[in-house]
Amino acid sequence: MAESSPSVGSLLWRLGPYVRADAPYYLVALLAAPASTALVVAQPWLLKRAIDEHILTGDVPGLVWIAWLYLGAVLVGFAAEALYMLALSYGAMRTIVAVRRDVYAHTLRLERAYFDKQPTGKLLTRVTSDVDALGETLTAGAVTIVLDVLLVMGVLGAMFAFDAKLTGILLLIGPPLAIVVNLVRARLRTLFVRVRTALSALNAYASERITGLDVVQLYRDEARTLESFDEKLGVYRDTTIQSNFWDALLFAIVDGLSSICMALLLWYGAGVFGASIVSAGLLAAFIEYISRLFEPIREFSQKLAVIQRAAAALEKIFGLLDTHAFVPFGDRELPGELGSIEVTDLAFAYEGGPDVLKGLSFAVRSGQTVAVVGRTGSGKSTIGRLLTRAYAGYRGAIRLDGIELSELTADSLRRSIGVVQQDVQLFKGTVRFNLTLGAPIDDATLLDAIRLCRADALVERLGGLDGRIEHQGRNVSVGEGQLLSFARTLAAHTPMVILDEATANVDSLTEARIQAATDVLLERRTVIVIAHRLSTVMRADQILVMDAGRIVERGTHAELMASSGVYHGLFESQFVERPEDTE
Amino acid sequence: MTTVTRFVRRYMLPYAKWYAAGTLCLWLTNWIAVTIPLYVAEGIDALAKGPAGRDTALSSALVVAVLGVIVIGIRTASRLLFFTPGRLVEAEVKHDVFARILAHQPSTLDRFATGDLISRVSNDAGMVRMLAGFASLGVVNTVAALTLTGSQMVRISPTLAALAALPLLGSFLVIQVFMTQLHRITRAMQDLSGELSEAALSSYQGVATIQAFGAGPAFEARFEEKNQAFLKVVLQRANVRTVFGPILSLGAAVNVFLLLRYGGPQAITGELSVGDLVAFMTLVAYLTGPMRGMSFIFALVKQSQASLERLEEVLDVPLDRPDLPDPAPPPGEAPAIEVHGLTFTYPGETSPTLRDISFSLPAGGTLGVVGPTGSGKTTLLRVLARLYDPPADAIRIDGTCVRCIDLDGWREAMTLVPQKSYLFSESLADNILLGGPRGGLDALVALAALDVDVAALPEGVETQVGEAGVTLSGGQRQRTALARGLARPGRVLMLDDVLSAVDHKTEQQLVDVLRSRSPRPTTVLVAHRLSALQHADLILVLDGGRVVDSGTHAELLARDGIYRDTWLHQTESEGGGHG
Repeated sequence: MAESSPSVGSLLWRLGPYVRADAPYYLVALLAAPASTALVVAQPWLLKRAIDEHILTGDVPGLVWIAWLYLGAVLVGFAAEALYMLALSYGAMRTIVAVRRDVYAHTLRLERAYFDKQPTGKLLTRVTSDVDALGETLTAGAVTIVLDVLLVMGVLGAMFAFDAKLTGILLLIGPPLAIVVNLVRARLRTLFVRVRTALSALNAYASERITGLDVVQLYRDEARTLESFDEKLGVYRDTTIQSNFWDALLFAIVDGLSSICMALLLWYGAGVFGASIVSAGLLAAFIEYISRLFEPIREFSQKLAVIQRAAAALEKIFGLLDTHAFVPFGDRELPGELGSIEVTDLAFAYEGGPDVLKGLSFAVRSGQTVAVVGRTGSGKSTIGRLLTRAYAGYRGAIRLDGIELSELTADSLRRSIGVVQQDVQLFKGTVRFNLTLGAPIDDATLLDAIRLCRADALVERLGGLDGRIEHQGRNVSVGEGQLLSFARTLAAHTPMVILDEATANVDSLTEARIQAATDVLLERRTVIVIAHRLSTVMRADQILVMDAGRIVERGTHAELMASSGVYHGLFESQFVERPEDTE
Repeated sequence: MTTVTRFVRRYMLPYAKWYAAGTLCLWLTNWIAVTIPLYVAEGIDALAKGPAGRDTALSSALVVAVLGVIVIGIRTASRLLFFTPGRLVEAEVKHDVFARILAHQPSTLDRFATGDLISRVSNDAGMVRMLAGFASLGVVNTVAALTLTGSQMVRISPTLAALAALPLLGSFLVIQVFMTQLHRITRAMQDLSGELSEAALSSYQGVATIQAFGAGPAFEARFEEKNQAFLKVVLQRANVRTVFGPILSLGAAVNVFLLLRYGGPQAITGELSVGDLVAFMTLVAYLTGPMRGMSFIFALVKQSQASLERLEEVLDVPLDRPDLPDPAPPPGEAPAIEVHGLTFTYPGETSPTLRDISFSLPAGGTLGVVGPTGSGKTTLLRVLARLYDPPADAIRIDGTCVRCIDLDGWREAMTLVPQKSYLFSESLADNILLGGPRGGLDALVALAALDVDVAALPEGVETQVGEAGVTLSGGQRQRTALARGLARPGRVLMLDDVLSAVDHKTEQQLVDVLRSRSPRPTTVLVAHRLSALQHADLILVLDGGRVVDSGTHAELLARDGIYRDTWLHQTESEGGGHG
């Protein structure tokens, strides 16, 4: 799996455009890094000089001078490191905010078919934890590794300059260290993947059960739910405890090795390796160098883990950004207000599925109302989805005033066709925002639409146009949501309106009042009503009866009732026995 | 710090033995670590004496190497002894929080957004692991390191040790100043992260609407506003952390200066050996690690404190369960329901949703509830089901106040099928049965008019549904919920506008089945289609939260009002159809 995925380097490389946008910050960081390294490397060198040239020779003024130099190196080094960290954080944070913006905007433009395949939780992870993991790496991992590598190189360089042989001997410890560290890391990586898998399974489960909590509680499913949760929790807990062991071992090994280096140092000093006796100052400097060398090495393994995590995140982020599953739009504008619709031999299949529309033809003149009826699964809602271009890839022709639907610009289409959807979506925010969705619509128009949709009492309860709608429309009932959704579409004043089961959860009297009120408003508009309740469709200029993806009957209500076909049957099944039903 | 102490007492104390053993190992580790420089100093001083000291130097080196190896083992043990209980505590906290969420009533949980609750289980409960593991180890380690290095330093030179303490104290003071700021910033960051994730989640869920209205740019602008607010806070954090991070190691580095400036001359005069000077430096260098870790731990404690507060908001809020501790048993048979003067206001709302509702329904009877949108029908069912508790004595079940009845038993005894029902990412069969017995599934599916739909699914009732599975239409979801409800043999059955999901013929079949069930449950039907209510023993007409009319179908038809108007309207449609 790791082999087939892109390398960490290539993934980071792709961040280029983002990094370039904030180049000054990264540049400052890159300039500050060597300065900080140089000053850190200089400190043990000053120490050696202090001991060998001043303490051992008894030169107090020189020693004091060196001490001040040392303090200077410390303070300037601190300033350089602070500047480095600050610039890096600024750059990284600006980068991830930009990435987050792009991921969000990109996702909103993806076609519905893509959303059908992706659980929203997954898409949410892209814009939240994945971006966060990236930020963590940019500040803590990827770029500080530059500093670490510089530091290790600088320290080693200085050590070689002082005593190449001693350094060489110390470096002998390198290969066994690398082997052990690698072994442990490989073990850790496998465990880490398992921890992640276990954790995401646990979180996904908790998230679902909390979202559907009312079902769990109403159906007394708590015990079973908690049991499943605990099972997943147990897997997670046990895997993490295993990974702890290797983690602890890795840390301790690196830690313990610095002591072994010191022992080597003393042995060397004692001439075991054939060298002459070394100076106390050199030993002191080397002790300093070794402690400085081991800190980045010890953290290196942790940073690598962070980088691995970010690489996984980046892979997913770019995977999403590389998905260009947008609904294709054209570049033509409708010449005037929408006049007619002509559908010829329309066929369509959802991805991987069978055809749900199998060659429909119909025409709607400007100002007409056309109703589409049929049982669940007959394909009636699909017509609305194709007309609003929620789904692309139809076969046959859909012409608006002679122009093929797929050739229109997105803007032109949105200005022409409005839709009231079956599933109402409300957003946390003001009533006004929920009705305009950001479009420049004045309050008078909104209030008008609210009144026509019988939502005035509701809006008053919510506190007027500035009243708040809670997350997911929690403070609004299902039926009330439909009223607002209806008002939203009316306020947009599009010449064509598609009503897809627009008032399914509204009581019949309210529905009738809405119908009466909106009849006037919709009179001059082209309306397509999609409904399985026939009461809403009886006054349509034309009724299309769908069955299994085809139009099986068409005509006015009276015409269709006269022939005892499918429509008549549907009608009977809805209105049989006794007078009723208009919902 | 009270939240932290409460946490320690509740979750960490049971692992006291682990922590005690871990602490012992840590002290041992640190003792060895500070002993090593003494042997190094001994070696250096021996070497300074020339060839005569060679043997001493060699044996010092051997001791250093052996200690180095021993320290690997003990350090590993110390980390395991701290991190393992950290993980165990994490799992316990997660279990407790999740179990508590399951036990809380909606009246309590309504205060939280769903996404927020989820993040309390996944993020905040994960955060406590750092407190129980990493931070505890860090604190003990730093205390041990400071004490042991300190005492070694004092042994080598008390004046130099006192001098060395100054920069460290100084950096601690600076850190204290920034701590409060860091707390504020961290909390703001957590909140903004939550808002960002809520904003993304809701717009992804509503993408159909956003795209249909071309509202993408407006939503991007809304999101970017929060995104920029987030940037502002994280940059503040970067400012604080820039000072915060290196300041403790700066303290350690300043110490080397002090050592050279004041210890150096002492070495020249011979008050201090060169070996001791180097040993002192090694000790100072050794402190850098724990000190640097300490600033991280400070930040961590602040962050976990915020998380603990968020967890306590779920864990320590008492259950809204008036039936406890002495619950009455649930009804054994279909009960009579009596409602008297029921007025109900949602928590946090100012005006009541139900006002002065009274009715009485005989055992096994059927109640119909009708009324315009927003009239309180759903709320009435929720209160009957005790998703929200009614005021005391407003609802009596076979004469017992519903609040006194054991809630679990009551939920077992009644079945409510909500208007909008959530489907889990499981097979359709699992969604319907929810762990119940599999027998009679086909009959159930047919009863809920779901058989045609099931036949069309790729794997029938075994088809995965929910977010990760096949997307069902609104009507299909509702009928699945109906099947889920019918699968449970309740003594009270409540259907919230579920029959609108089926056509008239199926509705009539269902009503017949419900009526012919033996023993017949006491039934409450919310419906828009009045034909479903013709056989109801009592029909309530709600408007604005009040009962504006009530009676049987025939009685209500006989007088003017919403019911008759609706009926006429529904009839007229039909009449118009035939005309």
